[in-house]
Amino acid sequence: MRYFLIIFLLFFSLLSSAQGLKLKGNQGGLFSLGVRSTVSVFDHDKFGINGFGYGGQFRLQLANRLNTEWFADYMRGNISGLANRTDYHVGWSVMYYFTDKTAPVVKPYIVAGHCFDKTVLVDNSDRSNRITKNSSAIQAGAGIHFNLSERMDITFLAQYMFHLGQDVHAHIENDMVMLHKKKGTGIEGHLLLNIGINYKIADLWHNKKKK
Amino acid sequence: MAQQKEKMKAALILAMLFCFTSGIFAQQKSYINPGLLTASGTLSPAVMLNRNNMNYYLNGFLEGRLDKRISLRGELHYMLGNASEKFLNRNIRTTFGLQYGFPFGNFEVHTGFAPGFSIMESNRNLSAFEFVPTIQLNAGVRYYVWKYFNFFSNFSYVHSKMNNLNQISGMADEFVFAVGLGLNFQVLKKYRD
Repeated sequence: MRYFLIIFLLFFSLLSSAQGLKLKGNQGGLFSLGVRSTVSVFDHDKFGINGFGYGGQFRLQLANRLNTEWFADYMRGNISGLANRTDYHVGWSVMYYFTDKTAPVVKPYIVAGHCFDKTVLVDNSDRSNRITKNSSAIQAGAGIHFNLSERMDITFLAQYMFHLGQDVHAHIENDMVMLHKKKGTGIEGHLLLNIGINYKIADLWHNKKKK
Repeated sequence: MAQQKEKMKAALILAMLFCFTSGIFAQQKSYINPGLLTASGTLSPAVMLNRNNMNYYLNGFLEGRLDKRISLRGELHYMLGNASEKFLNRNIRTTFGLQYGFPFGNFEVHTGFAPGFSIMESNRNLSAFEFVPTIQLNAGVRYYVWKYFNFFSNFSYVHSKMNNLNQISGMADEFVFAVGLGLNFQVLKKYRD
């Protein structure tokens, strides 16, 4: 019930701004909100889909060709049916567009940024056998907005995320799950594919009415 | 000769149907406009694609139209029970996403996708309660018959996977079917009567 109430209120707030995007000056200050799904295509050196996640983001555009994205993701993965992995990502990225146009049908961009993350590995047969690490990461990649209207877009994004810090991994030894945390600083990474929707809510910097 | 008569009859029926339906479209006021809120609650059967299992859901959605073609849709699935293999013991799923429509008068074909999450519990291990990210892809049709009612039919593919079942595949993809009566309400005055 609360969920529907939130959607209802969100819809009314969006409706007030649904009449097309009127920009005063440049695109700096455009604020948008969205949700997304994430797939981890391979992890470090192992190919295959081994993580699927749900997340959200908001964007604050700084200039015609420069946008920023602030995101949070929750991802779940499986390790040979014997253990499971949870990843939490919170971070930000800077996006650079190849065009000045506000909402062309296709708008490609490149992206780079930082992320803080937490990884939890848990043995499926013994939940007390678990290992956790906190680390930071850098990510870079490329994406495309498909603008369905001036305000609404679907975004595809592919980015590689390097985690800086201790490596955690699981392997199977004599049908037992062994969870390891390597000491020292290493680099492990994964390719993340995102599909998301975004709605431009307001022009925060130019929206003030002059008295 | 008899075949020709049959063909003539079929052509006549098709022409009458066309005139009748186009007449309806022409006479009716257009309800598909920005500001249209649509909601419904219905019972939905769901076939699990990775196992011999049928789940039954209480399914509700609320959709708000931002544009003639674009709307945002929030959906809630609550599992009432299941048959055959009974892989799931409990499942509550919520999604929020986008719908893109192709309106023809008051009739619409629409498709969309929605990221979301499920809270799942399997009969294989009742202590393995899990918060599972999901994604829903759907396609459907609906016909707005009045300013307050519509008939709809919708097919959804939902991907979800449990990861904390020991040595058991947790794949729980479903194909969900929904049909029923929807309620709609235009919130913008300029599109009302």
